[in-house]
Amino acid sequence: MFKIAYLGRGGQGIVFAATLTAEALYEKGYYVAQLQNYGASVRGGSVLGYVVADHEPIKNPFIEEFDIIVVLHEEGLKRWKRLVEKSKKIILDKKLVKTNIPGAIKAPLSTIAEKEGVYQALNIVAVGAVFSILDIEGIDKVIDKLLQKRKNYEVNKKAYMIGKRSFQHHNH
Amino acid sequence: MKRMFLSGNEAVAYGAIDAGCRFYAGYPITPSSEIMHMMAKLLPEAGGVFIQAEDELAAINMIIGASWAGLKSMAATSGPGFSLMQEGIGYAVMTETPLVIVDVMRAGPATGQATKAAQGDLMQTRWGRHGDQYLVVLAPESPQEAYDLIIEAFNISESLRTPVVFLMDEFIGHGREVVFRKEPGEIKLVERRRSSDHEPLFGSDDPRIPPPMPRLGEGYYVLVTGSTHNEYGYRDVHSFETHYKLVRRLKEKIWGNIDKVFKYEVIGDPGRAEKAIVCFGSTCRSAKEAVMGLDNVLLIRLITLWPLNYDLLRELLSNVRLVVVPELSLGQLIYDVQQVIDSGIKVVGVNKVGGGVPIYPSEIKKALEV
Repeated sequence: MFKIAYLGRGGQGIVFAATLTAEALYEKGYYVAQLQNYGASVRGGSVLGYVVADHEPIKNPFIEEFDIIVVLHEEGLKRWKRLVEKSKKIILDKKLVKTNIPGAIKAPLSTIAEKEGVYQALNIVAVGAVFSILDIEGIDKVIDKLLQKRKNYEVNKKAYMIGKRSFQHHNH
Repeated sequence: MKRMFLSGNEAVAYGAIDAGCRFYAGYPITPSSEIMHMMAKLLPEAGGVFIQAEDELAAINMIIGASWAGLKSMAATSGPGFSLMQEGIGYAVMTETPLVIVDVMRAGPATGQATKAAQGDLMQTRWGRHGDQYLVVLAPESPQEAYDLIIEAFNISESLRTPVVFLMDEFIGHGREVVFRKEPGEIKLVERRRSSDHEPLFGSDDPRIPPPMPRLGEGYYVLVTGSTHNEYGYRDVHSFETHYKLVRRLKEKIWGNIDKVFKYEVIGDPGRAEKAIVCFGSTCRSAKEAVMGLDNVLLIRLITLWPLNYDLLRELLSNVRLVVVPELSLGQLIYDVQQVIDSGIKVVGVNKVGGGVPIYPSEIKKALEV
């Protein structure tokens, strides 16, 4: 079973990161549940998006601890700190998250995204980072297919690959 | 069967189409709007009619009209819109109009929190209208069940000539999961009984059997009125006998068919259990995880919330010493439990509402430790 969460601020595409992750795992044949918590605003406020995937039907989608959580903004952390702390692998964006959480990995995702000109697709960088950890066979191909169906394919594709590489690099 | 990845709202739309729904009127409101978006897309493809109404009052009255024109009809909304629809729903009960109304609950009252899940509309689904009125309320726990159960909602509405309220919450409405959509041949559909000559259209000897329903334009002279009427539809706003007979029959039509419409799920052994959980909707997903590995806990999930089989609930709970009732509200279902158990038995509510925070399995487990 995989339990993956993305946390950030309204406007960062957190829900889409969860959507892309969920759809990719669905395409790979998993039972998937995707939930999100967001406010009424288009920008600002905390946004949490998460995915549970398993070979069996999902009994309970209300998850208290995640295998991987990627935090892309301080604003999200304010509200869901307890949930983040309980997670097994915590990835905090080095620049956008100021709070320190014991055991968390500080990854320069937004810094690299900005340098590479794909800052607006930071959410997709996060998806790349998650799948670099999960390492599911053939997932890149599925992601590519899903991204092709949406706009800004070139930017998103680049962002995904940056996520996959940058995190692997950081891990070593 | 077709494997799909759908939100509960999308699953409701596909289920409605597969149930034969061919008319939808609604006004968009979070967290139900995706039902409307999907119906706008699917209905024209299926040869049906979709209308965005000017408000919820118009929407409910449009679907009543469409139902009398012979189409299976639906509207979806959330709390504030559901409040506006109450007068029309009461009219549908009185005129015995088959309809399905979906309420995807958000935190209330009033505007509340539009994007956050809640279960606080339960009592309103039962008692939101004035007068002696009864209808059927169904509540799924997941997108898959939303798909399967909305088909059942249409079947019940057709077979009993009644409005059916379909009660979901934001977690089910917006949560996406794998859903298996049935092929047309795999679905059993019920159609309302059409009129034959000389049969009254608003009365029957056996109140459990609803009268037949003509379609507008079929040639029957029929008065459809929200005023008290006799079995032929003639208004009688004076006599005790006509009114009493009518509301008694309308009540018996629902409660007399409780064996057909009351659906529930039980996990565990009622004979051995010392503790129980009673729940409905998405909250039961957490409850199911909470009872894993606990063989002294009984889980009762109510799928039909109205009419409620109190006798059965009493029997199932007759041996327990503790009942936990998790609800995404300050507590409404708990009153049903308190009504059926002895005063010495402890009933504990796990109540959480607002912020889109679910009731976690650990919180239900903790309540069971009392």
